[in-house]
Amino acid sequence: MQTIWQTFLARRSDLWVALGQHLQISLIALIIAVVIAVPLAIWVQPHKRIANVLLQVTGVLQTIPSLALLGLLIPFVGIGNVPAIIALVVYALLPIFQNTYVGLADIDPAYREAERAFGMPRYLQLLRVELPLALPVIIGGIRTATVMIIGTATLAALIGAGGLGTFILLGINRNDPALTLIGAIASAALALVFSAGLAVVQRLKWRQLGWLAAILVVLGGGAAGYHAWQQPKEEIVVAGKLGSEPEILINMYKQLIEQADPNVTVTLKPNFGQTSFLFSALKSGKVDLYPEFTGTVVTALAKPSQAQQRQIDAGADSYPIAKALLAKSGLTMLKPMQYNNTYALVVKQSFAKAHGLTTISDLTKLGRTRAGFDLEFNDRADGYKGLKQAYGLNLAVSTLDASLRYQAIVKGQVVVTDGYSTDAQLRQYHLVALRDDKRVFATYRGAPVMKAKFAKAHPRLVRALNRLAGRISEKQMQEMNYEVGVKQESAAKVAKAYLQQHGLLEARHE
Amino acid sequence: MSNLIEFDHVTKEYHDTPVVADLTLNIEEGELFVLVGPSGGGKTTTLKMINRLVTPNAGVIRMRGKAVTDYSLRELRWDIGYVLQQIALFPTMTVGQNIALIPEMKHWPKAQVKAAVDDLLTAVKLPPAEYRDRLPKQLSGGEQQRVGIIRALASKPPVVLMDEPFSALDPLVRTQLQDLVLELHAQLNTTIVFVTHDMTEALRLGDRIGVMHHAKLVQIGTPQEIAESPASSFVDDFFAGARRDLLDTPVGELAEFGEPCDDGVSLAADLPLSQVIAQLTEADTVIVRGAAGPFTLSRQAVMRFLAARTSTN
Repeated sequence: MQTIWQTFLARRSDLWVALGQHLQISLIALIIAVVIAVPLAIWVQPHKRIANVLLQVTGVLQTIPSLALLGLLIPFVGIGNVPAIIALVVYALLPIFQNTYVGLADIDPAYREAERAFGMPRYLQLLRVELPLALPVIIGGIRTATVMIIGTATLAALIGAGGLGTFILLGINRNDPALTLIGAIASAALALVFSAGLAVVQRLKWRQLGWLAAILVVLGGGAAGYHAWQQPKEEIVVAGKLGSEPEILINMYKQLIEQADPNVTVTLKPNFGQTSFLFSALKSGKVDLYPEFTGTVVTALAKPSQAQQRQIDAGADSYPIAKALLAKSGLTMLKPMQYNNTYALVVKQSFAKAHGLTTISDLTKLGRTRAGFDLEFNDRADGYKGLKQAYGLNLAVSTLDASLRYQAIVKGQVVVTDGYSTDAQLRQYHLVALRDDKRVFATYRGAPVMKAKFAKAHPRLVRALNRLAGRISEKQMQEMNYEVGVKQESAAKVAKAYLQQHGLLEARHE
Repeated sequence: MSNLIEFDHVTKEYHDTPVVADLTLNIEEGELFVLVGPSGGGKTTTLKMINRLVTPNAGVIRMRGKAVTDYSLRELRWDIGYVLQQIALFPTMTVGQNIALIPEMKHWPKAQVKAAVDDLLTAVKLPPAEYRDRLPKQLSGGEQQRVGIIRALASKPPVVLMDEPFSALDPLVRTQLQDLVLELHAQLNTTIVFVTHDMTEALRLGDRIGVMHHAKLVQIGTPQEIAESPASSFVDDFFAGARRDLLDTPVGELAEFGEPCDDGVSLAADLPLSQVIAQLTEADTVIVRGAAGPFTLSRQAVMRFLAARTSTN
């Protein structure tokens, strides 16, 4: 409970942003769904057969798994808010359509006969009699849809639309249940508040409903107008993958770019999703740039030639290869930073000191040592398999779940474990990564990726970002990850501290 | 008197079965015309063809000499008041809003609408201040149908159609509302076409009565003509049924024939007349707890009531 409260306090501002995004996506989806489903249900009243067909169609739409639907939409509308909203609208259609249709169809036919006999035009029949009579049922459908939308909208984080799902995904990613819980509780609370709000709306009179709609439109329009008026500057969108490290990096990018070019506003989209989403967002122009690793480019995003693959296997620097491969798709990668975020063999600092360990080769001097490896690492050619071949290591390995490795080493159950060279836990638990002196691990060096055209059009931005080239050591990155991931400092603050400390950001640029 | 509504060889069929077969009928301006007959006889269908809720398969219906199909549908319906058996006051509107519906659609000035609503409420003894802003569900069935009737009269239409308006109400309330219809008809001189399956009601209300049976109009005439010379054994039987119904009259309705008196051993007002007659074979008078206080009823008083109801009014 204590940790949840602390996490909440530390993440308050992020939570508000996520809540705002969540609310925005949900509300837009809900309004669109109502605008489609209610008139449709009114229109099909006299056409029973069409109504049945539509009920079937909306029912089928609802059975599509949400992840699959999002995946299917990406090729057509890309990523971000648009596919998220479309998916949510698709799910909301059935309950709203069904309830509106049934609510209207169930009205006592005597009222229909009276409406006709009194020569009431259709709009009066609807406004003064039928819709008010069906309103409780219609609102019931809208409430069902709302709860569903708010729940499903957590998946929007997967495709870069943000929202409370970011907290949940981040929590899973960082093995931090407090974050997941906060995201889940906030989303549930939002659903409850919305549902209760709609119950109030149900009791309003038409005139009050009209006022409410007018206020919403004015507020929405005002916000949009203000937004438009606020942005005479060029807007550059910088996104980052899930996690604290990308978030720190993109904050550095933002500060460097805005310092170099005051006419540019950088919008950050932290925790935008997984690699493939980000990469397609970059190609579709939704995102202008994001930090990527050379190793990821050559293994996951592009296919190296055989010659290039041999070079990589021989331990050559992967940056020139990655850059060349990206150029084929019209993309480019700026100069990489110093640190190499790759696999590492990790021991306690005290242990390293006691046995004089600095490199992996040094491990062979010890006798048979207890090691705990993640299943994946244990089995990879660039993991333990490769280490055994190259170094002739002979460890007593037990395989562990990735989330348990650091606990195991801290409790002394194992002496060596695998990790990533910039993990915050290294700093947190006073661990040290042994140097890979025989270059078994692939190099993963980070640098901004963008379209070549974009780079050409923004020379000042490129210069600004290249100031990070060769900067930031693994230790420094560990430290910063620790500040953000464990101590819950804001990424912007940590980034700024680093840049100022190293003379990259002028102190007056507050 | 001139014909207001004419049916000219009108036929309506559902699935090849005629519900109204070759009907020719004239309804005169200002009369209270009652269509009576057992259910399924075609009365309601006939009524609904006047305001085009039902479209005939053959024949022409004229209002003021012009085919109803030649009127604009909305204006036709705005000029024909309509009272439903289910009453169907719109539950989403107050009593006042229900009554004001057609005048508002006709864009009457606001003050005039309000005055009309209040006048009509007063006319049916529902004080406007008390009833205007109530919702229909807060009214009793009888009160609701009073509002249903004045809703149909609100824009002073030349014709009002009433489709079994009292069949769902209890006998005492039914009699009161029948009196109300007679009163309003005398006051406003509106033409009323009234459908019922109750011969007693038809005899009480109708200037002229049309008896319908098996899709055909079997007899048409004043109540007296029908009582004196029924056109067929069917009409005769139907009429006999009405006489039997007379003995079911709640005794409370005989107040005007009795004498007010002090309290005593008394009979409930909803006791049917037939049981009171049985008691009167033993005693000279009985005391009834009437709505306006107890009254005595003698054998002569009962005979006077029967005489009044079986002779035509």
